[in-house]
Amino acid sequence: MNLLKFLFTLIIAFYFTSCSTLKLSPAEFGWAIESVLKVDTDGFVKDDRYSISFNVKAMFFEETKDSLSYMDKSIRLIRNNEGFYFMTSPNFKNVYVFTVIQNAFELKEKFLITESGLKKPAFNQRLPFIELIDGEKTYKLTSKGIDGGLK
Amino acid sequence: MIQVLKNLLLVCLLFLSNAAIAQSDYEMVQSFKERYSKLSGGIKSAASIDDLNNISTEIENLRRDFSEKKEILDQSLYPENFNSSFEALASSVELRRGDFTEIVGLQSEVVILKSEIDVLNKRNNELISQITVLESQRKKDAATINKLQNLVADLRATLIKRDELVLSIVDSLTPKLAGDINLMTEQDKEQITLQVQRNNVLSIVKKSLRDNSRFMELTSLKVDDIVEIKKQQQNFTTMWKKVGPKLVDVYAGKGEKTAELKEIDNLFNIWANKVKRETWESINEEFRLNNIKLQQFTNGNDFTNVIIQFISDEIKNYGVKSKEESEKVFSVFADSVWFKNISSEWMPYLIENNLLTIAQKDEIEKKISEWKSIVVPRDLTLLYVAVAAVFLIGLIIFLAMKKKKDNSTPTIVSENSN
Repeated sequence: MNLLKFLFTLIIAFYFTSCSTLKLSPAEFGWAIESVLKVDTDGFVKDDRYSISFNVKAMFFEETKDSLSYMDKSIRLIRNNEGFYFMTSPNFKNVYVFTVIQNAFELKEKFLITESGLKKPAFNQRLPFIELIDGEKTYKLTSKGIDGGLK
Repeated sequence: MIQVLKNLLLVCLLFLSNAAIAQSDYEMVQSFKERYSKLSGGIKSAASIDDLNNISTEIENLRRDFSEKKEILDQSLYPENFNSSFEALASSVELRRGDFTEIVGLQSEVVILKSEIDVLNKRNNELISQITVLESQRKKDAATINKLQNLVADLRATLIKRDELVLSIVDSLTPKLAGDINLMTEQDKEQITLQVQRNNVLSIVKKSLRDNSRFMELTSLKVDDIVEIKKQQQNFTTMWKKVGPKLVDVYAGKGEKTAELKEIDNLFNIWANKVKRETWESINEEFRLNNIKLQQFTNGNDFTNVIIQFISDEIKNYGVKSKEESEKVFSVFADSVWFKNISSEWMPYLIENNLLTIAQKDEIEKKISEWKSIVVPRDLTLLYVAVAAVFLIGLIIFLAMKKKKDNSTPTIVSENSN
């Protein structure tokens, strides 16, 4: 009977091992430099180098509560090594961190940087962080928060 | 005090280093791309080797300024990288340097070519006046014709040689006119203008075209001469099509020069028309030399109509003139001129250059056959003999069969005869 239990456990274990998700790791997704993308009249941005295009109206509305605030604006976009996308724009108070789902970006985190709004933000890839510069101020960001979630 | 200053300096350095750290990679890459693009444009618009040397120094400065950022530039300049970007600049500099070396070489060559052209122009004028004198003589003996032919051949050869030299001078402009004229700076355009003026390029081209047109008027030419001239004309036209429109752009706004370029275009048209006209005049001359006087024709339709009309008149006049005279005109027209010279020598050139269609040629030759059938009717003696022979053979067969029939019929003897 014990032998039967053992065999049954073994078969179940083998079955679950076989059905587990295939992973390719380790993988690095970081972009060397950020992209600065102009928002078009329909609220879309397009990056030819990375062949991505998406609508940013909802992010601008979330930030400003103004449905037309995206007009004549540009966004700063960078991807960190884990694969999260960091976005912000001049006059934004926050940096938005997105993850990719099917045909969409889904907000993972939103970090408040300054109540007065970023004047001239820029992202740099500084492993393991994403560096945010605004004038003389710099912030170290991860997908968890400022300075790795310490702030 | 010194210690305070030292501290201040240290604070300043720290501040500066922080500022340096807080630089956006994106802005840095954009700044590199901007300087790179300026240098790349500078190479194209460099007006001299000195300009190019200055650009080379600036390229080295760019490399030095950004060498610390090589790693990030390697990733950001995809599909290029830091080194390949500088290799591309270096190769552009070398290529442009080659243009300047070629230009310097061509400039000294042009000076030599110009003096050769002057000599040939003088020689051409002498030949033209000698030919004019000989052409004006009413009666030309064999020696005169021979001398004339030699002079014409000599003149043609010097004209071709002179044209080749003119082409070389115009070619010396080609490297400078190679790029897009709209991208040229005013300084570049001014340089080309100066070079064109210094070498009298437009005057030389005009003189060449005028002389070539004048040559067409001097004397009648053989088909080989026309073929040669046509080839020379095509070479000249091809060259001018490459350079002419670009010079028009360079001279845009300079009314006098633009007018001169239009004049050159006009001279090309005159020359082309004269070559066509000379072809028809030389063909007419072939008939005239054999005492066949035709009306003037200047194109394929006229030519066909004139020939058909001439033959129709000859057919109509058959019987009015003496038979011998009609036969003689036919013989000279058909044998001495048409089949000997026109059909065998001129016709391939006329058809190849679309001056005459095959249908027009066939139409004329059909008319010549019709004329022949009237002037030289076919000898029917043999036909009569053949008909007589057939008749005789038939008669013999008929008689033989009749005789045989008579012999085989049994004689009926009347029983009552005895």
